[in-house]
Amino acid sequence: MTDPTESRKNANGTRSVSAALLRPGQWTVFGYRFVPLLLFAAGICGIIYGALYHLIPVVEKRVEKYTVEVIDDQQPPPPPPDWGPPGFGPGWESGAPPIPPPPKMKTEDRERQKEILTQESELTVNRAVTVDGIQRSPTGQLVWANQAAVASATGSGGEGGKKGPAACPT
Amino acid sequence: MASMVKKNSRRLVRRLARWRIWVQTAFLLLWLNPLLLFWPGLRWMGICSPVFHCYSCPLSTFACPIGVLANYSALHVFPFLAAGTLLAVGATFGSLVCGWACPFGFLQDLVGRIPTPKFRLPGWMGLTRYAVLGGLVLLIPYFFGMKDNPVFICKVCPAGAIEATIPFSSPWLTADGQWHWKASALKTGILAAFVLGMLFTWRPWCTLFCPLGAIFSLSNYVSLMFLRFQPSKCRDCDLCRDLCKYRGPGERRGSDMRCIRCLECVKCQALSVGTVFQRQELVTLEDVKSTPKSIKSFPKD
Repeated sequence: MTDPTESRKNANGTRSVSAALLRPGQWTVFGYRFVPLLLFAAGICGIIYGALYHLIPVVEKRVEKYTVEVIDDQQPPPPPPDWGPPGFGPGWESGAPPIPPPPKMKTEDRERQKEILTQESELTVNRAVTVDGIQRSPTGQLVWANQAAVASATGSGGEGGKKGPAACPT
Repeated sequence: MASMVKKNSRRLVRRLARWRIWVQTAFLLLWLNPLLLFWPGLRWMGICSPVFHCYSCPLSTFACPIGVLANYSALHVFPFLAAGTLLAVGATFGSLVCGWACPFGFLQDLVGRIPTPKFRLPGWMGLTRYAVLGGLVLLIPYFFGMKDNPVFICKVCPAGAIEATIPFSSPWLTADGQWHWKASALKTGILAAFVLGMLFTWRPWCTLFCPLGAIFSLSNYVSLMFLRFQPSKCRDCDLCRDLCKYRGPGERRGSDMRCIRCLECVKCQALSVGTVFQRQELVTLEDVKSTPKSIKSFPKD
């Protein structure tokens, strides 16, 4: 960098420090240095935009549990004690096809993975990255990972979350 | 009147410089707050502090800006909040934050007080900070991600070692109540090397590797607050050079990239703290004439 004491002769023969020779922080407009103020304003704008308006799409993969009724193949319905082979029960007439007995149903608990796209603020993402809570998937999506740690560290993102020290991610 | 105000402010700055260690202690308690052990709700991880510390520390109040930058780089998202914080703080104070508020700088200052022979590192070695900033913080996380990345900044950070790795390896915080050194041997080794380095040179981490220091050192050229050098008052006594522990080449210029603005050098009459709100003072021919030749051709190191 150049030194402020460096000077050069002006057209009128006097010496003055050229603004171009000074550090950027000393460039002036009407005698006031504008670069630091400009940068400070840009920083404040960045903080406001980041805190309030910058939303980051994050995919939340949830495992959803649901119940379905399925035919119980393992246990065919037992025939009534006083009837013959299945299908030849009351109401059957000679020559007609046998009436199949109603299948026995059972309820089954199943899980399916559901992807929910959420828009998270930078404040939330900052909290989550401190515990490696958000990661980039090979497809380029940002996904929530290690949600239990996020909930524990940030007091959000799940039931029973409590604020506490973030576990060291490394 | 104006000269009286100037004199008073100069006296205040000199007095404040003597209290630097207490200011650093106060900031340490702000960034690493012991009250968090009792009131974890005081934790504000969404916000970045402007200093170098580990966000995984059980006492950490705010997020580390370097950790956040590296994580966002791995996520391919621009961190407006972290970048805005660094820009606003840098544009206001420059690297004053390093000298007065950084907890890891404070640790280095404390260890450096142990009376051992101190070596001064050559100026060009400070350029490695930009390599750390560009490589470990921005480019490597961007291209290789953070998971299973052995050179991700948090995995080699000595501040992380002292604030998170050691506490979380201790029996008080491990699940089985045993020490777990093996998992964090690399970080602990790096920390040990730097603690040893602190004994023989001033602030080795700041001088050589600190990526946050690299950002703030750039803002030294454009900050609202700066160190003003008045050539007319310089008696070429080399006092400023002797006062500067960190061997910044710009002891007399105050805008050097290695300067941490500890303000020790303002004991010299030719240096004072200035702000951009003061009107531009053009250096006159008399100033130039009275400037000692040694300053005009100041050695680069």
